[in-house]
Amino acid sequence: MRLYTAYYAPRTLDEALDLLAEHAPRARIIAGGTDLLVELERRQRDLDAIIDITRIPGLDTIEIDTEGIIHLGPLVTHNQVANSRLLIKRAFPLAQAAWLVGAPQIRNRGTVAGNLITASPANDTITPLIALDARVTLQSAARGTRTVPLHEFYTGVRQTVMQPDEMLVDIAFPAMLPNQHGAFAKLGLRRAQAISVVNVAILLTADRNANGGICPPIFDARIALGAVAPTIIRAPEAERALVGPDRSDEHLARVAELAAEAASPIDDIRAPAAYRRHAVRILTWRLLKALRDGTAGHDFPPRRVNLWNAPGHPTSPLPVEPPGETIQATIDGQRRTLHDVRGKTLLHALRDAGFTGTKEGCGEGECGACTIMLDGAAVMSCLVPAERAHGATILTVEGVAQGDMLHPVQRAFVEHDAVQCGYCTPGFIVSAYALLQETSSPTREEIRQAISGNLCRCTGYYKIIEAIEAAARGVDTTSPA
Amino acid sequence: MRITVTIDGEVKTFDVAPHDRLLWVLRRNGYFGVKHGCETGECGACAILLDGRPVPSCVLFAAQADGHTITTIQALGTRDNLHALQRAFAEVGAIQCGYCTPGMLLAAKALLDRTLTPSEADVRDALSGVLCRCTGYVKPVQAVLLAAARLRGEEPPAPPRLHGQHDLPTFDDIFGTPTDHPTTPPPYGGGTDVRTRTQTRPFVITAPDDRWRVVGKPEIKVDAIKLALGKPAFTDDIELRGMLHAKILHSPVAHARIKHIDVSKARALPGVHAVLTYKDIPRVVYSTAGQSDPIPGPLDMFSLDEKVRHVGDRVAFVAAETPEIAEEALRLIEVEYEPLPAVLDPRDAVREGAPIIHDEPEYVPFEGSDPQRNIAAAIRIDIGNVDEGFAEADFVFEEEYVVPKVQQASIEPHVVVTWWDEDDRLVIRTSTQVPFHVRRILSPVLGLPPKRIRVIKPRIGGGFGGKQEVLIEDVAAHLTIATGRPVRLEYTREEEFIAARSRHPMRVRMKTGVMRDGTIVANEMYLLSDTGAYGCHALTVAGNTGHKAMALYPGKWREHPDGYKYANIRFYADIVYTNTPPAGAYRGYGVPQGFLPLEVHMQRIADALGLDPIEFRLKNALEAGDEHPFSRAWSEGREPRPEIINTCGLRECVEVGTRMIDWYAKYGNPDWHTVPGKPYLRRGIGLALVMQGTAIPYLDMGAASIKMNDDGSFNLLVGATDLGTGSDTVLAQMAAEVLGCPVEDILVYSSDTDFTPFDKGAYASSTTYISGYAVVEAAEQAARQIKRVAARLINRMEGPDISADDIELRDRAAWAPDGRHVTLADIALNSLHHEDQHQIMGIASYVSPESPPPFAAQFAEVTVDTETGVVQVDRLLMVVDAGRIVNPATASGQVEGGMTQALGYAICEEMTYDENGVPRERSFGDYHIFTADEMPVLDVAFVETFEPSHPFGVKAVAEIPMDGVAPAVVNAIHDAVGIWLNEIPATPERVLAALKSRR
Repeated sequence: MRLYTAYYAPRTLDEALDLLAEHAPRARIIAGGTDLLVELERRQRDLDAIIDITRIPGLDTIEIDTEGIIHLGPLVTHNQVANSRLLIKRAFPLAQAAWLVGAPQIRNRGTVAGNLITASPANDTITPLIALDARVTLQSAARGTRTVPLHEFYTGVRQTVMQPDEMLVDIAFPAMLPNQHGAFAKLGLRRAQAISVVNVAILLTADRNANGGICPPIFDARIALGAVAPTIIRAPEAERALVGPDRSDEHLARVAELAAEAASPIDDIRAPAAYRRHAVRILTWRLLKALRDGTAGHDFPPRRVNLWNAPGHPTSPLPVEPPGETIQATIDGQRRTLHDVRGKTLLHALRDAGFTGTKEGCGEGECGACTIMLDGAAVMSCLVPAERAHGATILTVEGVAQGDMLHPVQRAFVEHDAVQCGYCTPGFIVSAYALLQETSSPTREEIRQAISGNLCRCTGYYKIIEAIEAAARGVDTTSPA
Repeated sequence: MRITVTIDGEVKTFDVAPHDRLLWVLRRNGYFGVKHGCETGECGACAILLDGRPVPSCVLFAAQADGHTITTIQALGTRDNLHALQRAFAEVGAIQCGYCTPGMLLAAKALLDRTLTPSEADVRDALSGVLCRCTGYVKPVQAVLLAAARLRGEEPPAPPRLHGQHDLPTFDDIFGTPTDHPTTPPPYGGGTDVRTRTQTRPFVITAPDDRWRVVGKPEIKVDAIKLALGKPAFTDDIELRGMLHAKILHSPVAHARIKHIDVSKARALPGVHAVLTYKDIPRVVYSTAGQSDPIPGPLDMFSLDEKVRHVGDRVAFVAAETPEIAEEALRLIEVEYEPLPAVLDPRDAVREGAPIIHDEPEYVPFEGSDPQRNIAAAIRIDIGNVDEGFAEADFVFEEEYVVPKVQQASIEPHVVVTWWDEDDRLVIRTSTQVPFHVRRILSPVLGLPPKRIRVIKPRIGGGFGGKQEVLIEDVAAHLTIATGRPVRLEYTREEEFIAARSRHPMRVRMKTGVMRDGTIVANEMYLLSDTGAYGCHALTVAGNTGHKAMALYPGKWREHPDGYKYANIRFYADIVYTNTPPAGAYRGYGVPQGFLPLEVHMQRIADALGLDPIEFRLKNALEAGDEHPFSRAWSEGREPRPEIINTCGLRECVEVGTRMIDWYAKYGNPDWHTVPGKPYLRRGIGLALVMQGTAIPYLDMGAASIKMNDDGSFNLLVGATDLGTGSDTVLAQMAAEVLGCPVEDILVYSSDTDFTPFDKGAYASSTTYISGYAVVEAAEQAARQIKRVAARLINRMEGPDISADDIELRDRAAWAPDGRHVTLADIALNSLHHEDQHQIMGIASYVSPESPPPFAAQFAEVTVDTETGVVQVDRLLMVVDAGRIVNPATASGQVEGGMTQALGYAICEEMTYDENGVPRERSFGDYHIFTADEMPVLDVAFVETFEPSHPFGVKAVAEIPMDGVAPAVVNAIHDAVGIWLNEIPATPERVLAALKSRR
């Protein structure tokens, strides 16, 4: 009747593995929860227990070893990837894909490891990792570790070789070399919150010319295609054809055609098969031309909005007493005890405790009405298990004002008439608040990025954007006409 | 520690702390009849009977009650079986504020349990432990003596009745008969002469008007601050003791009879309080459409039925301690369905031998309903002679268009909390646009008279027509009736998609006869509308499609022998049932479905004949002074009456819009259509002209009451339902304008069927016009009274005598022409307390004989990717004639938000079903609604006309923004790449397919 009946917050990896050994398959690891909680809510998955590994220190590192291999810990989030200088330089398609995932609130919680394990062929980060030739390390208490190439990791739609008692502990892939060129593109029906209709990642090895483009010949090519088959696939014929000196428009178009032939998409709600195949051809063609001309990645923003007030993966330490039916958290500046939280989302735990300013619009991370700040990062509270908040610091919309003094963002919302029905307003206020914590002078584009996870059905967003701009400018009042 | 007590005849066990006082333990456990008046046992409000003796519970430790018997007021009697004391107290008038009454009654009961022949002294002695501040004890004592006599079997002679009822004055007596409105300025004359850039983007052009201080200003919304603070204002932001949580079992199949349903396991689950199936509640046929009586559509639905008609239809209701238990109970309900063949395509619905969806004998048809043929409603309107018109035409253009089913998708789901109040009346606290319709419609369904139902509309988190439906209130109400407990029901988002309402999808055939010079001589529309499993709004939505869209282009007017002019128009519609979730009301209400076909068709004709698309449209369009071409033919199933178009700013909208978007530099200019360096991209520009209505004439009624408070502030009570639109604010602005005070002095309350006068609710773009008129009337009544008092006070000052008519209200004061003045606060104090005391107040209602249409020109710029078929809308501009704009900020907000929903309709929103009728879109993940970072540039401008039928000259603004975006985008796509899309949304697949078929 609850989403789950037991919640474990191990403090070490070994403890997590032991818990998993004991309770699998009726227990599952949870980190960002952006997929698992939705599955539990929808009752697509039935579990007794979840094992939340987000309080284990040291699992969120991004490192390069002496062999030139990059390692991502299992808690590395999409926003960490999109903001890692190392990854932007040496694994650019992955950084791009991570940036294009979901909304800021989702990127703050969702992990790359979780993305790999959910194993949807539409998941964005798998495609670049296939192109980058990644491998994953799985660990269990009973059998120790084993390493599996990512392309062997998948056995079908949402199916992997992972055993119920195993945990993904490392994602590793060779860093791109100076003569490697990579890029990622996707065609979704919407820019934010998009699940890919198709996506493509390409990695080429060739000398670099003065424009950042390539000098022929192309020595090696890897093309990975997402959402066009039960698993992420490569396009071997296209890769072979690409190797060689020819980089003319006509040749690249032929390669793109071959890539499209490699796809075996299905019809589904998001697009019919013929359309997907066509889209593969167009995306591949455009990516290849961009790589050739050195323009790939020009749309990757130099400054990115993450809705966090400190880079990385901020986490309050877990209190000595583990979370039970009751948790303690600092909410809107006050120490609070939340009762009867077991098996609830943080959203419901907050609302049940009287924090009704935080709204539920969809319950699955699509609308942003439930946005709060958890340990300094904006998240969708409907996708956070309540117990994760034990010992954490939370800001809800109700804590944004200082007593009777409206926060400038709130004042601006009022003055710019950015509030119509007001139901989405709390989420927008928190997102805007987080944005202004992160950068005091956001551009209009950055404002749009910041609220891309928040849906509003009334306003058309204009007045909201204006309000945030005004708040950022420190403009208190606007003079009437 | 744990105590066991017998309370009101029931043995109860409570966990209590050693220091807990009995009073608080009782209240905590729902014994609200035990009142808190003090903490020291001195007032007696907390009296209970402990083993038959009255004691104050506030000074008793709960632990001391362990093992004892407690009687509270709640055991004394029931509504149907009042204790003699209760009856006597009520009859004699012993209850004033009523707070001490429980203590009094219990003390008296203890007395009468001892003796039925008490003396007056005994009674007074018995009551001495209970303080009363209202009555002076005369009547309570009298009541106790009366009750004692009756309990002895004596009926004392009735007290003398008051003869000659007080001659209660009517409102007119008090306030004088309403006089005419201030003379209104003449209708709009031409061209906007003054432009003002208001402080809010988008671009709002509005003619400033110095006559008014509040109306026309971008006042801050009266409710904005609390919302920005996240205050608990919404339906679900309350907690009620003992509240149960409801869930609905939805059908997994599209069409079936329930052969067998077993709820025993669900009922046995601990924590479950009720499981209801069709066997448990009365079978009352009704319609969920929130419309005035009689509902203009078939009655074809039951709260629960033994047949299911769509995936998502209702099968059973559960109420349980927690939502989780309720969910679990749903899984324990065993249902065996006898599957029936399903109709999923509306074209199959009317075929011979199609399964009949509504075969229930209770079905009540309305205009054109033929359930045997799956027809929910049908419309046949012939104005003039279309066939003669086609014969006379140089060209006839025919085409079929398809518009999709889309969802309102308010971010706050449907949510309701119901409970029995202390008068045993059912309270329904619900997120609705139509509180008064909820009360009326549910009355027969629940078997309660309307007077036993109270509907409270708290803050509403968006509705857009989705909450013009009495959608789930009955479920919670049935469960409250079954359990006696408060019940909360909130839809999940998935339920919003599978079991709420949507926009009617339609197939529309257009046929238009045109002369070589571009004059339309006959115009015909036939539509097949899919209302889904139930006929909510079936007739009126489709009627609106014709009534609003087809009315825009009368083309050639002809003389009727009876002295009026008419055009050749035919509008036929068949609205059919299918086994899909029902459609209903959605902002625009049929009109967007009409304007996509009409405006794409008009563009096609202009293209084919080589005519300027704007001149061609304006040549055929309605103008001020014309008669609404449908007004003699159709009025939502009621008697039609002719209506004249008073104001029409269409030509000015086009002029302003073409200037703002630089139309003539773009349309037809090949250079503008290309994107440098990106040969696969093409740009295009398109437009559409649209109109809507303002309320339903002779039907839609709104009312308001205003009263003045001691400090010169006013309570404005309206039945109108602000669902985020800002109507509370614009109504307050109008009241403030009349009363000469700032908006902050108007305290708006909306709405509660107990407190606020009737309003038909928030729909048909009517609140500013209809309810606003009522507010102005009520405010003027109050203003007249204020001026009378003011004249009296001013005439006591030095200076010439003035009359009330000389007085002007402004700046929180009443002013004589020579500058002498009194403040509203002084007037209020004088009127309430000092002399000739009376409540300054006004109450009025309004129904309009006309529905003045707003007009608009919608422009769109797009970029089409010819390789992927992706359409990016770059810019939307809407120039609107909505009459005078009361609040440019909220009005432009309406247009922006409306255009955004319409943009989804144009390019990405669509609800689809698989071959078994299972909905494909069940979340915001599957169903795309626009996010901030995907939005095009939005521009809004208002061309102000002055609608003479309203004191402030307003027309509607809420719905018209839904109408023009889709056709403007489709026309812009044609302008970009030369394809005509006859079906929306313009998804990449559709665009690419059209591009390929053209090659």
